[in-house]
Amino acid sequence: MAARTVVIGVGNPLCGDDGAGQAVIWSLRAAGVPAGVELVETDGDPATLIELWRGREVALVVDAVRSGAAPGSIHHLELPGMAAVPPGTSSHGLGLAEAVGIAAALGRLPRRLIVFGIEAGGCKLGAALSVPVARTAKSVAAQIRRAVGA
Amino acid sequence: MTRPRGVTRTLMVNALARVEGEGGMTVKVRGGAVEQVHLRIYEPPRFFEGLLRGRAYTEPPDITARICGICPVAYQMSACRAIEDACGVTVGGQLARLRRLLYCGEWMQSHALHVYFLHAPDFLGYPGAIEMAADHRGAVERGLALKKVGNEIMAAVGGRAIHPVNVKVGGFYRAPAPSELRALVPSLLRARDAALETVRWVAGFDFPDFDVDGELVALRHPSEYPILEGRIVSSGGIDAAEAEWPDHFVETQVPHSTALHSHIIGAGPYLVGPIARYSLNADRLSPLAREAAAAAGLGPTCRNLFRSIVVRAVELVEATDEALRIIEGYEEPPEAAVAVSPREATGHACTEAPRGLLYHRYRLGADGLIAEAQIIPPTSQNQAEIERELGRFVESRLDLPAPELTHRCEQAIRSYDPCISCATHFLDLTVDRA
Repeated sequence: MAARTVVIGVGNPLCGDDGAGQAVIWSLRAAGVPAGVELVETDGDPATLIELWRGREVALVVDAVRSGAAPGSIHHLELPGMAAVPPGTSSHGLGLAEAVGIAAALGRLPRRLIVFGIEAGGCKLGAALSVPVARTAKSVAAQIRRAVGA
Repeated sequence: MTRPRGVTRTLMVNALARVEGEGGMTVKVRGGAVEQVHLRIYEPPRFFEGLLRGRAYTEPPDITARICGICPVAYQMSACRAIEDACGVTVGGQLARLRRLLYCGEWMQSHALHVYFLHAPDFLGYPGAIEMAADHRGAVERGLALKKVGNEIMAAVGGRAIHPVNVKVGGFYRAPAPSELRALVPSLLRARDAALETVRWVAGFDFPDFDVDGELVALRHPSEYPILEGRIVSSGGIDAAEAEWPDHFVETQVPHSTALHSHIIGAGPYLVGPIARYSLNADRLSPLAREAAAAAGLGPTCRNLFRSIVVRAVELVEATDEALRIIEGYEEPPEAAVAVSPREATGHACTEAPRGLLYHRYRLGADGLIAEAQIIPPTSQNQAEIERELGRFVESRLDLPAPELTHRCEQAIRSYDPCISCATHFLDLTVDRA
């Protein structure tokens, strides 16, 4: 039986700040989370996202986003109002916004969907996380640990 | 509508949606003729080729799997087989069957994604999958279900649904028990029905009239639809061993793209992928897939670019049907991997990624470290041919208003299913007609 809560880190750890989602998952894995909370890394393909969160009580998704804000800024979004998800910097044609839209049309959203969008700076192949994004990833991991009662 | 002669027009698509990755395209039209078509792509494989130098011969399967989230198995399989070729080892028997099964899972994931979420909206008149999902809920659910069964195969054989961790040079870290694979049969039977339904569904779409007229290249296997191995064959008569890739094909640098262009030596650009694979191997499909293809109106070859969605659907039938056959015949191998010792040599391998032929070459030193790596993904092989074909495509539609023409170009590009995250990050179409 799937855990009631899932934390999903979206992105590509080989592409600089696009790896922000994974960085949060790695940090959570190192710090530990309570039983009943599953940690998953994914490249953000919508079908995979929908599969990961369908039937869950709570899904927390962390993705790198680009909205023009300062790198490392956090966009905190929760359903309803998900239409405002800024397009991800995912390396693929469809991303989180599409996954939410398709899941909504199919009635496959989790009961609660919370998105932490971390504003990316550079997403150059082979680059490491930028300093502000690495700092934000740590802070988001801490927020998520508090939210899931760790 | 008449247009002044001698004036240059440029059509631009600066954010092509629904392709894997991101990139750009520019079409320059002067008077009534297409002057130039450029697909601009930036290519991670080059970075990986550099990264691989000096690494141990055991590392490429895990490193190259990171090139693409859609087709990691393809990279792992070409990498493993090329290194085994260098080391003089052939992996056969049940281990080769397991590799083929894993690859079937990837075909299912990739083709289900492309058919249902990237390509079908074009035929049904929706801007994207979200809008389509509201009206075609059953179809979208079917696409998700097919993809999920692909994930299950990847998890059972590869250890997890994306970026499999169970693959190594020589085979696997752990071979699944027959019972683990048999547990997949009920969902695979449903998936095969869903794949047949997919063929019926897409066969009813309306296909623009546009045939690709270039040389088609794919693997060909003596008895199977090509996935893991075969000889390199072409519609122009090439028939070569995998290791002879460099004798027949050459890469050239172009200024507008970080991806290298591939050409057939002495001929020109060529096309790999489902259309090529089907047209060179329709007789190798399973009876069920062949029947589905015939019922969908496909002949022994298919050159209509837009019907590539039907070919992908037929390949979904083939992948599910083949997965069932492999599981039925599966016995746990005595060892999960054969021993592979390094030696100073060069090895080559080609496999059929969902998007077409993927070539890897590794030169190993006596120390077992990689001295040189070459990775030629399908999208960069197709790039020159896509540019050539798009020129023809645009030329016969120049009277269309710019937004309509741009939209049609996007649809045509999507039909090639370019993986710009393998060959780059996608896609701005720039149609300049000043």
